[in-house]
Amino acid sequence: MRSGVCVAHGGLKLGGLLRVVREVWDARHLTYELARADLIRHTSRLRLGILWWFLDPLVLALIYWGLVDQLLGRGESIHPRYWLFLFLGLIVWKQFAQCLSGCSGVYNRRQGLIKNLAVPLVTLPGSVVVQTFHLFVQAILVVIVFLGISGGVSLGWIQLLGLLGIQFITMFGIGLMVAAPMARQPDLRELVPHFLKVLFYLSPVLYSFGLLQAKLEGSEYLGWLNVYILVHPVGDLIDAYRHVLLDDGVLSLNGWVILVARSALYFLAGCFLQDRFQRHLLEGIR
Amino acid sequence: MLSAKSVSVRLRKWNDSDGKWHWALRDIDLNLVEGDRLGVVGRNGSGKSTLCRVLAGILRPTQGSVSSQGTVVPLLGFGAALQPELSGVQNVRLMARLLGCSVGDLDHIQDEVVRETELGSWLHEPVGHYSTGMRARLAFIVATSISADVLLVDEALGAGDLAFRKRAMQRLTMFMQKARVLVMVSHQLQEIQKNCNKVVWMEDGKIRSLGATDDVLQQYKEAMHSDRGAG
Repeated sequence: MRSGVCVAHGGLKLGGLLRVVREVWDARHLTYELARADLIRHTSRLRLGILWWFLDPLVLALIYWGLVDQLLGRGESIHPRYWLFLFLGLIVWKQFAQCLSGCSGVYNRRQGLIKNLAVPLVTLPGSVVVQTFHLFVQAILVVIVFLGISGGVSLGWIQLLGLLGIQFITMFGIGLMVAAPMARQPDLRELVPHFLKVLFYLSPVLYSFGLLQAKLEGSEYLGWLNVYILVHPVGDLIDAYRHVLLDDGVLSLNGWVILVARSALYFLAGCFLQDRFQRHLLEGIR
Repeated sequence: MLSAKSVSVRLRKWNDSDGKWHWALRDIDLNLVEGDRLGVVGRNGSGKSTLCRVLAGILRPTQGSVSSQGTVVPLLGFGAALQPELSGVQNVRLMARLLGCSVGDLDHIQDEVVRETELGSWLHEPVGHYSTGMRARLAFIVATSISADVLLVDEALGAGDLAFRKRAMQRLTMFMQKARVLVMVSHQLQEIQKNCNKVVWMEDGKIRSLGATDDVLQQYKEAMHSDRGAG
């Protein structure tokens, strides 16, 4: 620990929130270091090591191409390249699911560290987010290489940088939102896999929100669907990746504003909950 | 360099479902300046280790504040940072970073670890393959390779073979001498006497006495003897 002041919690909630935001920024190198160690630890068990970072999405892509496109010939009514449509949805979903389940128990798994070292707590969910995001980037690279070889490079892909940034901040927020509140709630952690299963079918992985909106056109439920789309953590993001990569589309300004605002809200909500529950967490765990 | 103002800490056990709280520390005021070597004595459960953790920044006070200047290195359960699947070298990097070391200092620490641990080619093997003594040796050398302005020691090391333990004690003594402020928690009163110029006696989470080493240790010993006599 470097020089610093460590004061009791309390006082202005905004101050606590800003403290967590600052902690996230100040501890970014350590967060990276922990994520790096975890990635090395994971690949050290594998004979092919870091090759799996690329092989894993490649195998997944091959399965979907072989099964959905070649064998079943499904999904053309949803998208002409349905297997890629599905693959893009799955890799974003996979990061979200890994992030949520990984962060929900991270303080319990790392009790030894927390009890003995002055490690900033945000680095622990942060390292889960960085790891899963790293693996997501490898998967998106596989898609980019495939699309580049099969159809040429598009200038519109530059938008991916913005989408990646938005995704990272959203996931960081979600990681912080679940990490501290769930640390003392083992029963709630047991529900996470079930929650994810339900949310999977309520997310635009197998379909798109646009398709649902078209089906509900004129219905009284359309308003509810639009609200749901607005709060869904990754729904718009999945559609945005597909729009940019598969349709060579350009996202509207409105779309960008919604994506940025939502990621900022998730992040701030994560920081708020982290600050709110950290005290109880520390009183119990350390 | 290191101060605690009206620090109180409320704790409960991690898996304590009935949610009972207790005050592990109450109204602690300490002000340590350069050259201070503070020994912390007291019975088990008196709040010594909690005090050490609060001063190290591991534990946040429920009330009050702790402020520090310079690099604070806690020599507590430093082996907890070791990851069994990572090699010794990879663990050195991770542990040094967790203890607050900058990227620029990593090479120097790696060199020192290679020289001092004498683990040789083992350093490239996963730490999970190490014996308990080898692990303790690695963790100890890394922790004592970082230059500390404020050093907090909670009970000195006990692991490792006899030859290493002897060398480790010498290294720890040198490490403690280099630190600008030392806080040492121990039941070994000779160690406190040898290394500290101030002692705080903790009882039920509060400071019972704070002052010169000889005076406080004398009071503490007398209280222990009278307790034993009464028992």
